[in-house]
Parts: sequence; structure tokens; C-alpha cells
Amino acid sequence: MADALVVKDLSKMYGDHLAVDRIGFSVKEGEIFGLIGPNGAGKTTTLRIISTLLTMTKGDVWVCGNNMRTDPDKIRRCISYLPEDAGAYKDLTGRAYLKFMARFFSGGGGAERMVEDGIRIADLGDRIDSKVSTYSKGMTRRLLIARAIMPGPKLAILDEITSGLDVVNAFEIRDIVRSIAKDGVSVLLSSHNMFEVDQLCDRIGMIDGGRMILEGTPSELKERFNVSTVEEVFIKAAVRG
Amino acid sequence: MNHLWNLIRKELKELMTPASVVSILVVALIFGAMGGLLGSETEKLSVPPTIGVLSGDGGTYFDDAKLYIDDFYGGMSDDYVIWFDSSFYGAADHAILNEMNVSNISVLLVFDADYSANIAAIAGGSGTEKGIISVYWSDVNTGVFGAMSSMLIGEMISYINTRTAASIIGGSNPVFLQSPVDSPKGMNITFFNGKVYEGYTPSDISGALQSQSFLMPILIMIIITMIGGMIISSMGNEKENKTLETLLTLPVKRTTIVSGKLMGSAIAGLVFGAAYLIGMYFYTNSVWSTGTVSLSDLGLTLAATDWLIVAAMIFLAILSALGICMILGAFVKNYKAAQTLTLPISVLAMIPMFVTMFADYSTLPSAFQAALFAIPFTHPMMVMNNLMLGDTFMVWAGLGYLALFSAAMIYITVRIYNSDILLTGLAKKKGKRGLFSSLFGDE
Ligand SMILES: Nc1ncnc2c1ncn2[C@@H]1O[C@H](COP(=O)(O)OP(=O)(O)OP(=O)(O)O)[C@@H](O)[C@H]1O
Ligand SMILES: [Mg+2]
Repeated sequence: MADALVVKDLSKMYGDHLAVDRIGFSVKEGEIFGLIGPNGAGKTTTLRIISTLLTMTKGDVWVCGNNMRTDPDKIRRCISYLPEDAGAYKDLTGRAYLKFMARFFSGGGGAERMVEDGIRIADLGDRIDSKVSTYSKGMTRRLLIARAIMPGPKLAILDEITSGLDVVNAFEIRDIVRSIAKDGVSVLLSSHNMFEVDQLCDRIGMIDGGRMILEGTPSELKERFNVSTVEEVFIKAAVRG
Repeated sequence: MNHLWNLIRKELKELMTPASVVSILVVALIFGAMGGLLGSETEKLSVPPTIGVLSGDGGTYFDDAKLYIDDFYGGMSDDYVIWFDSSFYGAADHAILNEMNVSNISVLLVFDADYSANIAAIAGGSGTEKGIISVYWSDVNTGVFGAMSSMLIGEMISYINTRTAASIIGGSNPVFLQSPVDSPKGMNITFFNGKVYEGYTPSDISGALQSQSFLMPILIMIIITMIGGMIISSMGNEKENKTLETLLTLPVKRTTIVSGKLMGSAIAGLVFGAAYLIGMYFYTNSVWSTGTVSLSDLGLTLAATDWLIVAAMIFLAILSALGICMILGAFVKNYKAAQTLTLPISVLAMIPMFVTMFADYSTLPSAFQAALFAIPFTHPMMVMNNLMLGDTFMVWAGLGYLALFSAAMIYITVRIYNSDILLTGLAKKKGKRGLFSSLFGDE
């Protein structure tokens, strides 16, 4: 299978602070890859670089065969990025927000179909026509996940995907992610929920202090540390450094 | 183009919220209503007030005065004058006031008992005292311009004076006798800015120029402050909600995103500016138009091409302001921090506003001139006067400077949008809290 994302020796400096240190990994087509790691490990920084938002200090990134340094515009055409605790434009309704976003990917009927898909994924009922400023945290998150998925990206980059969601909402979103992966969409996500990562991800990478310290399938990692949950893997790996 | 329109429309939807539209309309209405109020007060004056007349004197000069008052009212004194019964003469003040209120008048003229006798003595050459008229004022029906009715009474008394004097002298006009020398206004010839203005004094001309040079600076200042505030707040909001991050990962050119923001705010600014302009138009029209010499009276008007230059300057000034604000906004972390950043831009707009309103650019020390020239908003504030007075150097130099300035601002903005700064702010060195981080807060 082809690689949707290849990251090689990626480093990022903020001023003189090294936030990401020679990270390398790849995500195959239709694969769900989860980044875990303590706060400040460098997950968001990595995801922002892959999303074309930040420049890299060293290394190389390819998305769907396009090089980040030379073809960021082509990369933007095949990715969707969902920032951690993002919001939407407060004065727009959910529907208007999806319309606004859809128009960047397709015109006329294509955009309309995309909005229909988005509304179905968001599953907000009548409230899709209320202003975003009246939404709860979970409703906003659902809207934003819908907007990230509806254009049919090749690679979806989802930062702290279910943070702030209740059990039912989180469950439904994991279902959605699984189903798009089945359709061939590659997913790169970060999460602090180890149960979720175990359930959802085909492979996991653990970052600490800007370095990738572990990589493998959940069962591989559990086996390696001789434990029964990813949470225990995390703790043992974090203590070991 | 499609993407641009999509972005502009979103920007407008965000900026033209019911709350912002209502607040703008309220201010515009207040301007208009203020103008309307002052206007209606001014109109009241053209209707002469109803007055009362009371006399303790039955002599011939009082009889004459009655005729003069009737003439003053154009033979309509029956409609405007209430003749008080002479029994009120010498009555206590409160009794007189009471009668004025009953008759619904605010002014009462009282001719002294010695009025005719004193004037007769003057006519006979032995007079030592004038005929006296006392005036009672009541605050019934007194508005902002209540003082103006005293002007009317003054005119009436001087009219009675002139007519009485004429009847004593017999024949020749007493005004001429008293002041046989004159320099009428029509005989003023002013050379100004290479032109001849017949019938106008320098103060007429500077007054006319001033009345218009008030409008433009205020308008520019309001527009700049308003759109500056709008765009910085919108940047703060986008940062806070991370909508900017989402936007920057879409398949849209950064220049399109920047242009969408710029043009959305510029359109909103122009719409709101137009609302103010209409409000101010009504305000100034009713306040300043009465009685003053207008620019068109002086032949100081703008040709169609001049208006194009004015429009271009306003547009470029708005673009410059938006550019500055987008650069400032790039460093803002959230909505609250954005609010504090609107101050520098409004100060930058207020300095040239006050200077152009109250001082003459050409007479300022050259260091001041240079500083003012460097502020882009100075140019549209001065452009109308410069065009009318034919100062083409200032016009074209200003236009060129504005074009360069706004291009530079947009270039820097696009550069920032293509860099990390937009998301990370300026890189901080360890240990030192930079100016930016202390101003705008850490993450
Ligand atoms: N704009 C910035 N300027 C300077 N340093 C930054 C900036 N953003 C992040 N960092 C630093 O880079 C490191 C990695 O941050 P990052 O946000 O990528 O962590 P994270 O793994 O996403 O953490 P979390 O789980 O808390 O979201 C941290 O040490 C952080 O302080
Ligand atoms: Mg993070």
C-alpha cells in the first residue's frame, strides 16, 4: 500500500527552543495513526507542520507524494486539519459555516452535496441552523469534525480528536473515523485518551520531549512492555524516558 | 475570484452583525437628529415672535411708534402684537408676568410715561433724556436660540429709533446723517491664491474653506478607527477560535485570504462611513449652511477628476490602515488583546485630524510637516483643500506616498501570512519576556 504521509528527520525550533527533534514515521493509505505523549511533547507542533501551518527547521515531509517544501499548495488540496479546541465563526449558523468551507473545495452542486454530507456527519438536528455561538463544546466539536471530513481528504489530521466530548459523542466520533478509514482515508490523530488510542489506532507513536520514543501497533507495544493496556505502556515509557 | 468572494462575504457577515449595524446607525441618527434640532430652532427665528406692548404714555411719539411697529411687522401687527391695557402700567412685576403667561407671550415692551415728552424735548433742541422702552422677558417658549429673539427686539427698537429720528429731522435719512462714510462689503476685493474674489473678505474665504475642512478629517478619522478596530478584533477572534488555522490549511492562496480580509473590512468600513457621512451631511447642512458663504459661492469647487483623486486617496488610506492593522493583528493572541491594539491606530488618525482642523499645514515647522506627511491619513484629510487651492505638489506627492505605503503594508502582511509569526508570534528568547509577550500575553 502507498504511504499517504512520510515524515523524515523532522525538527522544529521555536526561537532557541527545540520542540520537535528528528522525528520520523509514516502513515499508510487507510491507516489510523495515533500520536501520544505528555503535555508539551511536540504533538501539536508536528501536526501543524504536516498541515502546512508552520515551517520546519530540518527534515522532510511528503503528503500523498507531494513535498512539503516545494508543493504546499498541492498538499493543502489533499489534507484536512482539525486544531485542538478550535471554534467556528460565532455569527454564522452551523449550516452557513459548512457552506462557507465547502465552497473552497467545490462549486455549485458539488458544494451542496458536500454540505449535505457535513450536516449528516455533524448530526445536530435542527440546531444546524442555530448560530455557532449557541453551541455547546461537544456540538462545536461535531461540527468541526464534520467540516474536516466532508471534503473527502486523503489525509485527515485531527488534534486531540475527542477532547471535551461525552462518552456517547466520543463513541460516535470514533465510529465515524473508523468508517472513513475503511473508505481509504488516512488519519493522523493525537489523543490523551489511551483507551481511545488502543481501540481506534492501527499504529501508535509516542513522542516525549520532541523525540519519537516508541512506535508500533497497540498489541505490539503492550507485548513489548508486557502489560495489558496502552495506558501502562505510556506510563512505563514515560518513566523510562 | 470565487474564493475571494466567499471570504469577503464571510467577513461581511461577521462584521455587519445586527449589533454593529445598530450602533453605527444610532450614532448616524444622533448626528442627523442634532442637525434637525438645531435646524428647527434656526427656522423658528424666521417667524417673528408675538410680543406685547404696554404704554403709560398717550403722546404723539407713542402713537407714531405704534405705526412703526405695524410697519416692522409688514402691516401684520394685529397678528403678532398684543396691546396691553394701560391699567397694567406701574403694576407689580409678578402681575405683569402673570398677564404675559396668560397671553402666551415671552416679550413685553413697556413705553415709559415720559416717552413722548422726552422725545418732544429732543426735537425742540432742549432734550436731555431719551424716550425709554423697558423690556420684560419671560421664559415661556425659550429654546436653545431664545437669545435670538432678543436680536429681533433689538432690531425693532432700532427701527423705531430710525423712523422717529427721521420724522424729527424731516426728509433726509438719519442713518446717513449719523454716519455719512461707508465701506460696504460688496466693495471688498481680495486677492487670494492667484485669484480675485470681489465682494468677499479673507475671513469669508477662510471660513468657507474651514467649514468643509472639518468634515473630511472627522470622517476619515471615524472610518479609520472603526475599520481598524473591526479588522484587529476579527483577527483576535480568528486566533482565539483557531479559525485562522483552519483557513490557512485550505486550498486557498494566502494572498486571497489576505485580500478577502482587507476587502471585507474595507467594504464594511465604506458602508459605515457612508452612514456617518449622511448623518453628518444633515448635521452640517442645517448648522453651517445658514448665512455663511459657501465654497460654490466663491467658485471653489472640485472637478470630476478631482473627485476621483479624492476617492483614490480615501481608498488608499483605508488600505493603508487595514494593512497596519493586519500587521498588528498578526501579533494578537486573542480578542481581548486586540482591543488594546486599536488605540495606536486611532491616535495615528487623530493627530492629523486635529492638525488639519485647527492649523495650517503650510505654516508648520518642517519637522512637523515631515511627520504629518509620513502619517498616511493626513493626505485624504487635506486633499480637498489642496485641490481647490491648486497645491498639486501635495496632492500628487501624497497620492504617490499613499500608494507606496499601502503596497508596502500589504506586502508585509502577505509575508507574515506566509511565515510562522502569524501562529507563534515573535520567537521569544529564553528568560527574557519580550515587549510582545508582555503586551499580548503568552499562549
Ligand atoms: N508559539 C510557540 N513559541 C514557543 N514555543 C512553543 C510555541 N508553541 C509550542 N511551543 C513549545 O513547543 C513544545 C511542544 O508544544 P506542543 O504544543 O507541540 O505540545 P503538545 O504535545 O501538543 O502538548 P499538549 O498535549 O499539551 O497539547 C512545548 O515545549 C511548547 O512550550
Ligand atoms: Mg497539543
